Amino acid sequence: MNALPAAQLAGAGIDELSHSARLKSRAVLRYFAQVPTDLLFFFSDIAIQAEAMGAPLSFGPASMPSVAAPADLVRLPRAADMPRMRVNARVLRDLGAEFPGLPRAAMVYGPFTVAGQVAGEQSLLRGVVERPDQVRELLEKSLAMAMDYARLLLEAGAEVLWVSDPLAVLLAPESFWDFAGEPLARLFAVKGDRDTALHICGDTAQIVAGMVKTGVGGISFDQCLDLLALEDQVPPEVAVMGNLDPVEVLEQAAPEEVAQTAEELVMGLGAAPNFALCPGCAPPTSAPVANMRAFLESGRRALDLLSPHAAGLAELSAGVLAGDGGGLEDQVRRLRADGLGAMEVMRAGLMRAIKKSSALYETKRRHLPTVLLTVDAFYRGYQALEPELAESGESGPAVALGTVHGDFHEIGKNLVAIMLKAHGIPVLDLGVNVPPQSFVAACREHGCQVVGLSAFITSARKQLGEVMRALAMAGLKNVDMVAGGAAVNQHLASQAGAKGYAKDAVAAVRLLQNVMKERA
Amino acid sequence: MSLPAWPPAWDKKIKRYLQLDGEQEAEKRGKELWQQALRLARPRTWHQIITIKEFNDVFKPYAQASQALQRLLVGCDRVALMAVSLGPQVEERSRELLSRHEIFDGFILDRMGSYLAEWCMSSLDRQITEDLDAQGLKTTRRYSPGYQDFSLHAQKAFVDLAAEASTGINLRPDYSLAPEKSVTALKGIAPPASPIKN
Repeated sequence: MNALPAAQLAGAGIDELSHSARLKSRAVLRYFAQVPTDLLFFFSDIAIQAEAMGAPLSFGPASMPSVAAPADLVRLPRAADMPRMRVNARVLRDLGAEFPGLPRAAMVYGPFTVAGQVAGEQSLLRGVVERPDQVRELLEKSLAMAMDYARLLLEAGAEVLWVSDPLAVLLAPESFWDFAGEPLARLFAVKGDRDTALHICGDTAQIVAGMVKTGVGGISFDQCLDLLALEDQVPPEVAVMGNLDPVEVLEQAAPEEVAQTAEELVMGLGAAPNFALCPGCAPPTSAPVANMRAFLESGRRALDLLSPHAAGLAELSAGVLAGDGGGLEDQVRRLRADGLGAMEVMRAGLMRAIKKSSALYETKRRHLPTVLLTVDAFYRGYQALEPELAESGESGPAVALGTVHGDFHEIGKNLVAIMLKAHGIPVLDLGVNVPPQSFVAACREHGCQVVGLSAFITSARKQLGEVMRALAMAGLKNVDMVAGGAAVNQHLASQAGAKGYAKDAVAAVRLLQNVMKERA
Repeated sequence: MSLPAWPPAWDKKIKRYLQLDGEQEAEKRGKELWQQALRLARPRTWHQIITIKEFNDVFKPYAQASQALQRLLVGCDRVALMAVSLGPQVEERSRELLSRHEIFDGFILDRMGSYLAEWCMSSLDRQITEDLDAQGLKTTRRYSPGYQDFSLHAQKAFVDLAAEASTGINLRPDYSLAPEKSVTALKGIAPPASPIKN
């Protein structure tokens, strides 16, 4: 993972670091001594190639170098003649000397992004439509610069070529290959093997096929994407890399929360043979080093736990996902007999399938009935674990769920209860025609933090406000309310003071997960 | 009135409605459940044509309170009342399956029940409309309690009239119908020359 937080360890400003091999090496050597990653990925700045091509930069002690203006005249110098590029080559050599045997990554920016910095991003994006030949001409130059810089870093000992091309996400999917994908393929050819990685920031779900077509060895995804929804679009020989929130988690959370989030990520994806744990986008320079270490240690521990059982977990998860209930209980028992804990079988096998099925539904790749086939299969596998999980002590119900007073519809509410339970959210099902006082009692007696209201008929809508009032009267202002059902919509739910609205059972799971996360 | 085309075919329309199209395993299971739904369904229909005056009396005050309904019935001198029910078996089976955590089967059977009840109502509506067309009469579109400002409480009038005896439909305290897989509706009938809103 990009070692930007190393900047904190230099005892000098980022502007100084960016020009001094000695200071930069000191920073990254200290950093990797504290954060022992599997790939030494020293930090660089996004502007280094644009600077070489003539764009003026801004430097500051507390911020990464950035392009101040487009280039007046586009230059194409030799990378070896550029002092800051030589600094990075030197840092790579220093890393090799300090950590022999560990692979090092060369960080290069993609031709499209650099062309945007050199010409101005808006001008380049407009040019794709209005002056495509001029854009291609500029792309050839920025590709030549990128290839030359990549060669310099590879000659300095880098074993992995890592390319980031953030501006490419702004291309229309149909233009991606012509203006970003094809130049990237030529850039990766400099390395000549699969030891390459590509990161494009933002929602790249529409261009995954184009990214794969570049021939890259691994694709790093931003945290805004659910990797379970898109892992099938990446062939097994290409690594799926990601994807923890670099700001909300790595920069702002406490180390314990970072560790927990990393473990959760691995439990969802760790059984896939082509998964590589790393942050989503680059962690900011201000991310605490202790957080980076917590991320690494927790993630590695979880991966080590799952690795010996990866094949069995993948088979179990695939069976559940396909809704194929036959043999699931045996598979669960086999994993347990092989020494994997009941909770790990649950999270990395059964829950993974449920989460993936929901993620496919949310990205419109799967219909609700097929999600329900997965839920059925999940329960068959779960039955084999239930006695052990019950022994381990389930916490009390978090959500009191019911169809509101005056409404007797139960199917939708039942479906939500089942989906929540399958996602590990304990539910107290209060049934149908539930008066406001029963919701109050559930919160008081069982400690439910959230009430989930279902309303199917229009005359029952007013009950949303009634429940809210009853909770307030009982002094339970800290309890959150969420609502769903055919008679409710986002507007009505908000009007009644609900924390959120869910249009169906899958959306209800996502909503409750977010509400519980906020409350944690 | 019987439903001559019963049962409806297992076709693209039902598969799309159930969201089973293109999902191999789900479609296979759905087809098996379709046979079960047809075996369990006991479709019953009822209809009656009454004058607009009778309608306003029987459905007082809900008919008068609904501006949308009053607009729909402008120019109409009679009203066709319709009710269909599949009976309780499909939904009972659905609940049983859900309670046993057979979620897919329970959910799909419930959706099939809704589809079949609506199919029965559409068939009944079509037959009545064709009969009235043959007599040169005009008809409005179908309208049900709960649409726009037509109160759900109007279901009571349907049940009181004849629906309970002929179809087994009852009212729940929330004025929804039991069995759930039941539908009531009305449509206005107007003389040939009368301009109607549809």
